[in-house]
Amino acid sequence: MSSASGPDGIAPSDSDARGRGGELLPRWLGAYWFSWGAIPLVLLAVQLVTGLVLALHYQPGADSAYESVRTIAERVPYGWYLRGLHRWAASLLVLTIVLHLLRVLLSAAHRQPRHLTWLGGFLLLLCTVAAGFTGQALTGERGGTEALTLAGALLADLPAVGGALQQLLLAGHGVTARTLDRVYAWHAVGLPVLGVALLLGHLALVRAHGLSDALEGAPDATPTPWREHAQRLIVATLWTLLLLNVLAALDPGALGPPSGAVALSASAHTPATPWYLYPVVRWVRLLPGPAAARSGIALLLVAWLWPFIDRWMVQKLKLRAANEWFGALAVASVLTLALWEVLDGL
Amino acid sequence: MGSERTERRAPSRVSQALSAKSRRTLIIASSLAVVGSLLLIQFQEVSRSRQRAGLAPTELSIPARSQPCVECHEAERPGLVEPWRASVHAAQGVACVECHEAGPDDPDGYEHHGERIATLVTPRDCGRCHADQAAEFDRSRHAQAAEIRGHLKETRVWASTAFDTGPADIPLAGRKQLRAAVCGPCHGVAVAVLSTSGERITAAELEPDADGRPTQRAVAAEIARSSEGFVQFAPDGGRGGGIGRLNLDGSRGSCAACHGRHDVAAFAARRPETCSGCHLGPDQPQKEVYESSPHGAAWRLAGPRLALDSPTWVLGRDYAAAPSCATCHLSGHGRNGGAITHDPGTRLSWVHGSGRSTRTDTTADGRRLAVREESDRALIVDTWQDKRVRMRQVCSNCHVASTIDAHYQRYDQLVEHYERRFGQPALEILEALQSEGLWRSGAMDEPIDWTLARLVHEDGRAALMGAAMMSPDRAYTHGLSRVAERFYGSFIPQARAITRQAADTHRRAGAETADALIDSVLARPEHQGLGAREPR
Repeated sequence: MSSASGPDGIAPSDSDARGRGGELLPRWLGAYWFSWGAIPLVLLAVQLVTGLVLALHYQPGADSAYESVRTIAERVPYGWYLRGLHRWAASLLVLTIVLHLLRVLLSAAHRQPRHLTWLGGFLLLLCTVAAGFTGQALTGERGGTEALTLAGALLADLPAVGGALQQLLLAGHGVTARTLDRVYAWHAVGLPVLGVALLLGHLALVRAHGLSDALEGAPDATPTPWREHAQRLIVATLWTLLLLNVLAALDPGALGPPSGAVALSASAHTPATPWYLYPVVRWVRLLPGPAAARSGIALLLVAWLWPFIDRWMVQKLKLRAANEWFGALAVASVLTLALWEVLDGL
Repeated sequence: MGSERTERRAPSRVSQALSAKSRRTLIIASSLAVVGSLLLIQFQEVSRSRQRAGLAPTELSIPARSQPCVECHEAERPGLVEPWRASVHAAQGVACVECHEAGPDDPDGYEHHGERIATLVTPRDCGRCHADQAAEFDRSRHAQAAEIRGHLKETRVWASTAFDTGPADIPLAGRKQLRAAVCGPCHGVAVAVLSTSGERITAAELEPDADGRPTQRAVAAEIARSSEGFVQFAPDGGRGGGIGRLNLDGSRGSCAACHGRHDVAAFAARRPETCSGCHLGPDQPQKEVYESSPHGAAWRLAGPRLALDSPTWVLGRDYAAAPSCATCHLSGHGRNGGAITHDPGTRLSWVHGSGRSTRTDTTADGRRLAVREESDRALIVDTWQDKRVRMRQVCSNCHVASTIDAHYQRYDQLVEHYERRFGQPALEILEALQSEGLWRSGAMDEPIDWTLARLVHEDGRAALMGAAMMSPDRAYTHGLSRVAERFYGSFIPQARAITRQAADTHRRAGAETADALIDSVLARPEHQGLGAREPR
């Protein structure tokens, strides 16, 4: 099992086996699904590139946003494709980050000394979700104003800083003529800059800490050549691009009616909440008034500070399986809320 | 951290087994797949380009509820569906049920293959999505177009509608059918369905409430239906698209009159041909005026620069080559932020009625109010000057202020000239004849009745519209020239004939009074020029 020879029957030399930073890449990294950590990075790159090209045609502002998106979708050559890529990459980005988060939890890689990585990574997840939400609001479709108003109201319900946060998002106490410009500034500048900064820190920490020692000492940890790992990364990238192309070709995303259009009978388009916000929407529907926002932010804080809470539970409360149980609970709750929202809408 | 963890994370045997060669193959295959997907994207882009260029029919997504309608009617009556396919509604996923859906209380609704629908689509239905436009239209004079009965005498149009105010031996049904055929296609008449006893039921009988539901339920219950449940429209039942159609749900108008029926399209209301269908002819020759004006000439030459299919059509932003009717009277332009109005009255500072041009001071409900006392002024919310400013804003997209000033000066002068020289005096003379018992208004039994109608309702209005919209032909040759000929060549001699006949039949006093008035009119300075003479 601990044979030093790889699948070709040739023993990798030390230089092959060591990564760029000189660390050993254990055998289990040969599993494909461990190369998939790069996929969020690929998707982010796609978002930055398509986002830039879209920004060349998008016209922010309440009067021009919808028409500019329609122009992109209908008149700009390949505009529909770029928009489709941007939309699908957003969904896949959230999905892969969530899967990555689950993998980190399962492999207990959030624990000391990697708690900073978790803190930054969780913030990255929030940035990504925020980028998805703001991006959808920028199309000027019906439902966007209501979504922004709701988000602003939730922020305003937070104690002390609520009002300031609402102003930060909406440039007002509700959706005004300046709101879309503000949201655009967040989506196109604020969140990408913040996200890239956090990501660089996250990657630096990952390199600095090396791979989680929960696995490093595993008996079957024989080195993987760096080239092999790189090739798997390339395959993962290619499959991601392929998936994106197929999705964009099949469903580039029909534009719903503009905000201000009166609701038709049920056979027309209805505004769609992004799937990753289903649990949030259901939570808000369940709880009255400020309770939704305040409990929500409390839960987010618990999740963000999980490395510390986990350690407290293990060390002080002697709950060794805290991670697994609470992780399972969190996943089950989120899935239940999401499913509830889906079924309710049917 | 025990062994169970490592087992959970044991790598798959498959990936372990891949050799370097296999990995290379996998990379090459994946790259080819990505290239293939890019070809798929390119194929889609070409297809979309062709649709954009009109070389291929656009993909339509038909909502589920309307899918059966399209399938059946396309086979059975393709003329219903094909125009819809080309429409902007089809491109937006608005199909049959979305417009034709009828509520349970709608008097003309019926069950049809699982849906409750009504054949006629009224502004109330359109207003479900286009609420602002429907409300604006309802305030406009277009919506009042069917309320012509009271105006017939006032506008002296009895010359062409003699059957309506004539003797009672013409049966009522016949009159209504004539009205539906003659007046209805432009003005609109009351939509009428038949009751089980053959009576006509209109909105007047149903008395719809503010939501369009009939309050006279007993009357609604009497509406006759065929064995398939269709309502029976009266033969004169005004189903056509007259712009002021009085619908059963109390709403007025038909949006289809300007926007097309199933072939609703953005460019329909932009083109002068749409307005010209009704706004033409001797008594409102806007079509002829426009076509003989510089604006009409520019329009004919502009071609593709008019951007008629542009999603927005804002003068100065999307196009500036030439104006159509909509440009000046309805559409948005660069000086008002592109705001469209469905009420052309908001930009008109004159209304040229028959023999009387009035300034357009309007009250809160959009009706004109002639200011007679100071207390009237308080009711005016929008003056004729406000309206003129709005029209001038349109002009200013292409013309400098001095040009616009000069135009309005000429226009106002011609209005004043016509009213003072021909329009008002003609009415004065007739009023004098009437007060002396020498002539009955509305009797239509003398040549002067026809002359008056042609004078004030046709040639006079043509001259005024010619001045308003810069057509030298209509302002003069087919306008003032004819007015003068009719006034001096027919009207005055016919008035004198009346007074002469009165004098010969022992009504000398009345005849002398009337003659004196005619003399005083003709003695005014405006009748002293060359040609402005009573013929001997």
